[in-house]
Amino acid sequence: MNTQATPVLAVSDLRLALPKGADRAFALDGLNLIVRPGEIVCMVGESGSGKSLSAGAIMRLLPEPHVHVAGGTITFEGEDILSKSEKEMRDVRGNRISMIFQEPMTALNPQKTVGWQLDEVLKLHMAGSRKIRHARAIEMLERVHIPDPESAYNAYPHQISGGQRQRVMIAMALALSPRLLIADEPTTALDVTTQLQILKLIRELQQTDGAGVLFITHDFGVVAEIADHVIVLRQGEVVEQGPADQVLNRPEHPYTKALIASVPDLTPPTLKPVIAAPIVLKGTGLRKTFAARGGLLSGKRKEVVAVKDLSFELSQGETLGVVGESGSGKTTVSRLVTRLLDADCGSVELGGTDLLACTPRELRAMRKDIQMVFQDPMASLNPRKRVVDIIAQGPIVHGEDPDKAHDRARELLEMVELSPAAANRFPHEFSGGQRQRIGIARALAMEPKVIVADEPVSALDVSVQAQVLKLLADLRSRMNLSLLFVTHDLRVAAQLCDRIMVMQKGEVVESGFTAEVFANPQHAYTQNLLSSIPGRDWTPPVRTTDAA
Amino acid sequence: MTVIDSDLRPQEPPRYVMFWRRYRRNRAALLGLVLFAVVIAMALTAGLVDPGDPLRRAGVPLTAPFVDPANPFGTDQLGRSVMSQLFYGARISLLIGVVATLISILIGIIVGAFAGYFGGWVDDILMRITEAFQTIPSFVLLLTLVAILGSKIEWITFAIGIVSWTAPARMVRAEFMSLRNREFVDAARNLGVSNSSLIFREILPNALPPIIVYASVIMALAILLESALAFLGLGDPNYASWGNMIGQGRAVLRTAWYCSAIPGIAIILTVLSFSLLGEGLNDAMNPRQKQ
Amino acid sequence: MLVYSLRRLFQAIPVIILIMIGTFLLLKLAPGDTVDALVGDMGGADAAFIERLRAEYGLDKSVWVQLWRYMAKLAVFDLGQSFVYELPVATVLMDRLGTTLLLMVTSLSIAFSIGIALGAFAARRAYSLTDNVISTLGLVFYATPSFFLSLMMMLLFSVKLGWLPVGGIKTIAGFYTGWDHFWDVARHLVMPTAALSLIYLSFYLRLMRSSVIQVTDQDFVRTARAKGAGELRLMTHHIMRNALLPAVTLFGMQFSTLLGGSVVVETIFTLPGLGQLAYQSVIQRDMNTLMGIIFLCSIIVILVNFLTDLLYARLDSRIELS
Repeated sequence: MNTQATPVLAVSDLRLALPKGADRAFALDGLNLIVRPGEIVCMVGESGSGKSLSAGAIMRLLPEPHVHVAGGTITFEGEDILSKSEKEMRDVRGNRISMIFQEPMTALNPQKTVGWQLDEVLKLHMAGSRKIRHARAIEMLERVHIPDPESAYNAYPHQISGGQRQRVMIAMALALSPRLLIADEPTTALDVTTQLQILKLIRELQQTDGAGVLFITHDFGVVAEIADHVIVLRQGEVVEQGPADQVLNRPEHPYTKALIASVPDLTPPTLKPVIAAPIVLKGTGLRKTFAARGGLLSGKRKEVVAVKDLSFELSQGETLGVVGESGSGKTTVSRLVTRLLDADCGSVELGGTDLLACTPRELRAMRKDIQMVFQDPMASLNPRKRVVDIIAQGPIVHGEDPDKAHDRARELLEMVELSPAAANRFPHEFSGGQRQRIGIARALAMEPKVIVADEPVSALDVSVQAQVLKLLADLRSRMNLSLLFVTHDLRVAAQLCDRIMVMQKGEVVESGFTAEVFANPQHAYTQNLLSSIPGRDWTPPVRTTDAA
Repeated sequence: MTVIDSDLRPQEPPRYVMFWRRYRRNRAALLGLVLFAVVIAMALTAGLVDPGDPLRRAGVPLTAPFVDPANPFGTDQLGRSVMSQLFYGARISLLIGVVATLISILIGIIVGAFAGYFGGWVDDILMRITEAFQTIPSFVLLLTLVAILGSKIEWITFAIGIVSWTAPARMVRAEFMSLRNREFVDAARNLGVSNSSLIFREILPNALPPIIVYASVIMALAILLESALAFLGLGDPNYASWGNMIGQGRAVLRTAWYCSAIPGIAIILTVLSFSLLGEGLNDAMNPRQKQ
Repeated sequence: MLVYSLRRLFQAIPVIILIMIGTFLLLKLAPGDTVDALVGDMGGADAAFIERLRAEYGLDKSVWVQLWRYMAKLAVFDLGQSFVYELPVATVLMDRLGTTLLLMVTSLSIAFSIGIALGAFAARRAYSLTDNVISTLGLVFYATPSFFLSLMMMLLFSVKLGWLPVGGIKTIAGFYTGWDHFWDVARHLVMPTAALSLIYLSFYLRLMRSSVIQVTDQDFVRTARAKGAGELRLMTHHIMRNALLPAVTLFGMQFSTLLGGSVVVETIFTLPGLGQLAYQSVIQRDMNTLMGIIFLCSIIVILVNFLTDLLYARLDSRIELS
């Protein structure tokens, strides 16, 4: 790489002021960075680090006057961005600097066709007839590898998949060969296999055009996959920056080390000695179809098979991972075995009784034995209840004395490493990770035979994720819990699961001991999944440091 | 080095304090609160302002305002004091507004909760009924009901409640449909909580805030409906009512326009206070929507 | 599309049947029937005559028999006879329909277009002085009872200034033709239309303002900004169409309320429309006519709702009618 080339972007000492009453005065405090042509600079940080606002500042699209530039300079190809008029900026945006966003589902106007939106950027910045623009648009759709560009051109955003929408966004961003591309978490909302394709695509297009890329992410795996240069942000301050190899493999700052150490290792746990533990949960021949509506107003219903003939066994003290991408039916599995959804057929034997054949009254009693930890820490706790009531609710429903249940709830809070002083607070007063701990305490309060965990750490920042995973692992060995663990994240699965089942389109394509599946995947889909894990060739160096 | 996740944030002040802080940020809502307080004060002090019957003759008919100190707002064509009627009218407006709103919200919650929670054929039947009620122009239905039931104040209130439950029912239904699949409801169900507890203890408290905000709209509409009825001469003749005053003032519009203007302004300010109150409640209860 | 339309109209039939049965039974609850009202008007009659009248109108049968007879006639669109006008109800209704439709179409078009324009205008300057003035005016009009607004306009424009006629749809014994007739009717409609549209305008204004503010915050608007689109382009090409959708829904939902609002305004301005007829039928206990009005209004409301749904589907590319 040519380090002598004039930088495309140079930011020096940038400070962004937050409105009064925010938790800190500056969203960004003294950001320095340089992006050279043909270089990918990754800005890494957890939520609240100020990484997305820095992109807004460069585009001059900050939510002013709430957040505004309080100092520093931004130079783009030798021009001072901050002194440009709004009209001059409009010529820059989409033309010389362009941007890709996180949410492909909402980033496109639902009322306009893909072609119209692609054409808009061309119309705004390019002199040329409709015919020339159309040809350019089709060419771009081809370059981002969209099958059948002509029909994609005429499609509305809701008619194409999330991955394709992100491709359209990229086509739009690169249509005029910008000098700088800002990508704000462009793959976070996508499945791993799609993520890898999109990362490769950004790489490929950027190399042909020689643009500089500022890539914002929270995921060190992605960094390892794509970065030339890395900047680590924490609470608005740069804690470390340097070439990718140096930051990834020889981090210096303790925060960087801690973040890297929180990335779950891809090495699965060693095989446990096989003891004949009793089977606590057994699913046989489970099947679930949903009637999906065709159009919103048309009454036509076509069936979608979410889970197709699923069988599994879970032994006492074992953790079984259910792994798959979105649409694989893994979440449906968690709802079927807890009978939050009714299966079309099959049985779920819990301690010898078929849960699916229970009467409503029997079912309510049986629920005690199979508890669940949910995905969304915001939505899984009733916002109008105090934490102690949330945890004690289950035992009270099952006839426990309320005072005893409340005492027990406080003990459980301690068990999940939260202060019992928090018992009388409401859920919104806790962070995401803490809420997940409360969710775990709620499940434990019932002393269940089985806990079903549906993506319990996917909404959490990586350092928090590591702590919650560690807590789960500790509790599991202390209480000999049996876990059915649903996740899309193979790194997380590798950390926690003894055995895994890989699901694709409602079917289990492969299952076995985690170590064996990881070492020697049999099914093509599993192989693809494993090889798509971002940063799979990178082994984080500082395993010894404790995540906390 | 990282923040240890089990550390707690500082405790927040109690809920009502937070509520008031968010409410008072909206200055228009504060004005609404003041107007509302004035209307309540008028209703409460009506007996003190004029201990007698507001519908009796209190002075020379058609005295202009600010002439006779005994009747500061003047008198109408029957010599009744405009001010006493105004104060007693505040009672009627508030009473009808509050009770009719309670009736409509109650019906709305029951219909909406069952339709939204159970879905399927329960929803189909309840929604057909709601549609039927929504299809008849509400004021025509109100006239019909009052014609059948008679013009007693209880029946008028009941009729207003009956014609205005459909909107809250649809709102409650929509809230329930979105909340019933929320994870915390699944969590409670998975603890073995019964359907009735799920509906009334888990979902309803979370569905209430928008309904409470909407209650201010219904209250405003109820007052408007009552005054329109009274204006058309279908109100309860035994009570002083703002709509009634305007209706009777119409006959003397040319000479004594204040007889209709004063109660008219009272209606506008009262309804305005409810709308502003509703906006403030919305800001305070749905903090995410603030700018 | 055709299949969808047919199915929608088919689904409306049970709703109308429900309404008519409900109204019929409700009206039978009322103390006294048409015959009582007639006899009351005549100042009393002997019992045998009353019985004869009852038998003549079929009122001596049980409620269920009467209901059955009424519904059977309704199925062939026979709405019966108006006791007050001594004409078929259908004739009375058709005579009145034009006035109400005219009033409704003009005031709705005015309210919808101006309300939407003002709402969008205010939203683009959210929280500025202009926005505050527009929003406050909107709230005040929202809080004003239509009859009060009508009276005050009458006081100002008819009584004090003498510009506009106090009521009616045309000058009595004016016998205007052609353009003169048109202007005469227009002059009569100015105030009623203004009263209705000012109040409904405030609905659309408030709705559109919040809708535009909401859409402006969405991701795709940010995308368009990042593409270099200016504020005007954002508004015309990205925000408006998305923000219009809730307004269209409200248009359909509020149509029945607006029809109801015409009762008060038509009564005040003595416009010979359906609203005034409804009020008179209630006062005169002309039950057949009242039933007829409810039947006709329901059909109009259902038709308008159906049309707004079609419009919505056209505006929202996510919806496909099949």
